[in-house]
Amino acid sequence: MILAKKSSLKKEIKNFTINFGPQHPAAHGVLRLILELDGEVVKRAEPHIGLLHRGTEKLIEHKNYLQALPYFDRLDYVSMMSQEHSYCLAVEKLLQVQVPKRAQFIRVMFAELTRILNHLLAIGCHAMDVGAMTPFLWAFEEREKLMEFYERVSGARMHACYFRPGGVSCDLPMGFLSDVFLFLEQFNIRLLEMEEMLSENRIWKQRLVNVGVVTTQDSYNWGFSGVMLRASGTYWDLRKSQPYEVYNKINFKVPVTQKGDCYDRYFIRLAEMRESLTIIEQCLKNIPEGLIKSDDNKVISSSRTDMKQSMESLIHHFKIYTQNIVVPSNETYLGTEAPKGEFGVYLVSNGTNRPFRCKIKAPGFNHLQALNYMSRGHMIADVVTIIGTQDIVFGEIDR
Amino acid sequence: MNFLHKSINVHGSIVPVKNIEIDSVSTVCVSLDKSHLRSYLLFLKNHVQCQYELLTDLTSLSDVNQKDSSYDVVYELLSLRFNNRLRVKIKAVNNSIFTISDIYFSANWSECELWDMFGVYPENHENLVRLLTDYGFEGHPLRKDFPLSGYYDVRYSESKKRVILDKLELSQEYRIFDYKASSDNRFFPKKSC
Repeated sequence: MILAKKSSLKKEIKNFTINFGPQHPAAHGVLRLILELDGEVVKRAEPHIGLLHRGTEKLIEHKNYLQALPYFDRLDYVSMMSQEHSYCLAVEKLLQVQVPKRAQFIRVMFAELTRILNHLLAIGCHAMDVGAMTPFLWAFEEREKLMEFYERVSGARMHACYFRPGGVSCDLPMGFLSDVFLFLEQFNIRLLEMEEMLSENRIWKQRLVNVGVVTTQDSYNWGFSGVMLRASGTYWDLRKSQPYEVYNKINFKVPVTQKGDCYDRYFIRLAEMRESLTIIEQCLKNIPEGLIKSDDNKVISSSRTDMKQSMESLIHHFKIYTQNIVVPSNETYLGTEAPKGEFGVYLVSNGTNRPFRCKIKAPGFNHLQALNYMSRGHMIADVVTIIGTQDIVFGEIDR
Repeated sequence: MNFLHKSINVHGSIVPVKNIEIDSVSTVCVSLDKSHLRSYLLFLKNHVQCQYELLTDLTSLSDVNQKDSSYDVVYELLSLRFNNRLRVKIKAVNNSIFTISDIYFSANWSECELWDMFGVYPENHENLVRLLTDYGFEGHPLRKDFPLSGYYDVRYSESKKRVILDKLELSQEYRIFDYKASSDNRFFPKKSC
């Protein structure tokens, strides 16, 4: 008989490490998470990103300023026009081009439609992640209407490429504004329905309240922006603090909550959709007649009718679409309030028709980085809630 | 010009600043030596009249005129208190910088990206991994000497029944249309920077 020592009989308890993703419906794309678990409690969450890396920044360096624009749609593929917006503003800032008032109103209107588009997906998918299927279906019905608006102005449902340096690509079609108004009227009710479904829902609250709490100081340290910052008690919105386009002429409120948990962030997204509705309403009221592109011939091509009539216009058109804009050497950083947070473009030009360097600052990159900090000590199911509340989209994080 | 822009001149007396530039849209760009960066950022983050608490962006770029081989590393700071942005630039001499991920947590991944994309090495970084590129990737893709099409091709091999890494073969070379000598440049006199 072999006598075993008592100490060797002691059970070794090791933490369990599991792999979450890259193909997982709750991973919002291709997120690979290495979760170190103690029972069901998360000890460490290490995100592995880069599975959707397409080298956008490198590609942009090899394209001219107009060809670079469509890449921005494909970064965060649920808030397409907001990113075009940052890029266009950055190019305009380098060129010091003025955009006509009508184009500015159109841009603001579409930026806000995009915000609704994004928040609908954020709340819808978040609800589905924690087990509620219905709001997701409702949200997607509304998203379909919004994408129809995209289609009517640009011809594409998602990757619109509608904002251009110097304005927008073409004017609004007939009857567009009245259709937007009809949408606004009925969307208010849809929002109420969604709120009734979720806000006081017992399961929803159990899953969200006190999960993923971020303090104000930590939201600064991790470089948060947008909803994530406002939920932690900071009054900060680039549309208010560093207004671009016509935001300084529009009345709207910035919702702020103090607690910084997932439930607060849900509320802010809902409130922001309401504010977007009022912004769009004011745009509908105040949109002027006029040009939709800058009249600077160095930036935009000649009109279609001129092109068919005059030789010079034809040459100009050819020149614009082959060589495109030549930007004097300079550098700029421009951040706008995209639905997910501050979407910035750091653009360096060197006096040619191609950007020398284009760094894309994606809000989700900083948010996902804090996933470990936010989910430590929570249950494994809460990791899904936290990914949902961060509103992660891999197109922009991996670039 | 707000009061911060005026006080920025005072910064020269605190750290040996090389150059302070204010561009046409009144963004201040401070360039300094890389050895002073950490103390300067600590000052910017904590001083009552600065409070640049957010590091919005961290990136790198090679010299615009392609004269100097070392990379510039650019830090975009944001002060919520004073609603102000500041750009800090350093030269990554010998392709290395000192990490600031203990000052700004958000620099952690950005510095990994810097290493991944440019090969700029952040010293004392606690968890340096290749962030965006594939597992086992070699080279630093955002360098100007890295070709756009890359060197390798990942594809599924029907004969081996698995995904393989292959030498890249293009039926047509990638064409670059260089408009650098464009006559249009005369409208925009080159700015010396």
